[in-house]
Amino acid sequence: MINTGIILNSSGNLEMEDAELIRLCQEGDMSAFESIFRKHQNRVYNVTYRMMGNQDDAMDMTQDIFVKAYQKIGKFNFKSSFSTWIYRIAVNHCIDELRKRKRNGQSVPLEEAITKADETTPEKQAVLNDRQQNVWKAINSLKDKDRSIIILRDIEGLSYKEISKVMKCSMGRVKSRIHEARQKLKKILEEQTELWNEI
Amino acid sequence: MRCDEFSKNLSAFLDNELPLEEHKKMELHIASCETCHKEAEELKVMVNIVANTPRLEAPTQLWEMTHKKIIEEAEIPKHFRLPNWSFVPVAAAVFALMLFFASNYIFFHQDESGEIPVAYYIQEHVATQSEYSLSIEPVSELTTMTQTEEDYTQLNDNISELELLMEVHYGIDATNGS
Repeated sequence: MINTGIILNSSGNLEMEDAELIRLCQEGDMSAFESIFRKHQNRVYNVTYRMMGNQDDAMDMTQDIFVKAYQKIGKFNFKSSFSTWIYRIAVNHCIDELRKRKRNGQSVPLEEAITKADETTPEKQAVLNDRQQNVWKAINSLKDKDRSIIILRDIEGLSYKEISKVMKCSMGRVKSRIHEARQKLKKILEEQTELWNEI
Repeated sequence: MRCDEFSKNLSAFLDNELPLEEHKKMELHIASCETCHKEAEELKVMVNIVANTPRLEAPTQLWEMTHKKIIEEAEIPKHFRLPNWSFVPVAAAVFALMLFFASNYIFFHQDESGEIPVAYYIQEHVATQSEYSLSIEPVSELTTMTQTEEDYTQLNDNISELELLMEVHYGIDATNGS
């Protein structure tokens, strides 16, 4: 089968593959960059939201990350996928920003967790909301590096191989870091609340 | 399999990231050890709760804002962009060190040709200024001031100290000028 570089997206519209779009971007095509942006903006926005803890910072950080990606796209060498590349820029940018703010004594405002309503009774929904608030607070109290690995694995659902590319470390290191971060998160949650109650 | 080994591999086991052989060993252990079974269940519950946190949609105006930033950044010539400030303290420290060593060299180094160091010239200048300052006192003040014997003794003492310093540090006999 000939690879035309074009696939159908979920709404049935013609959509180019990332590699083809990146080639066009490297030739200076801004509309190709807009397509890439629209495909990946939710991923980047969610990572920055979890890393920074509020939507205002997430919006600013997402813009900065894509500006950086646009400036560097000429150097993209197609050895990794665009999503791995943009995740790496996003995580590094957030960690740098958080470090900078800590150094300057600036605090990062933490919003209330956004919860989803999918329980049948108000009582069950209230318990679920409480759990999600606790998990949100616990994730945000982790160190930046532990938080980033939990976000990439448990929220974004990246494989260990993908995380090793994003973090530029070995699979063995990813395995131990995920386990350490989860153990820390579990400890915080156990101290905070009775998480294991049945709904 | 020991329990500590099971615990170490638990996350990778739950994520199906272990090689098949190790995965089977973990399954066998979990079936026979109640403590490890409980530990695995608790971790699984937590991972599921984290994984089910709601995802957000990026705000609709995000592309317009990003596009504007890209254009603005492109319009600023590179040499007008602010430097990376994290390097400023390092650069300042290096510059201060270089300045310190350079000044030490200039002031105290006497080269093979026997050139007199700058420190000597400064001291000589100070000495001549002290002598000169007496002779350029304003006339009005000279008329009102009387140089006592004590004043001259103090001045001579100062010059003697300077000569001694020059002789000890630089081997220069200031009274003969060699």
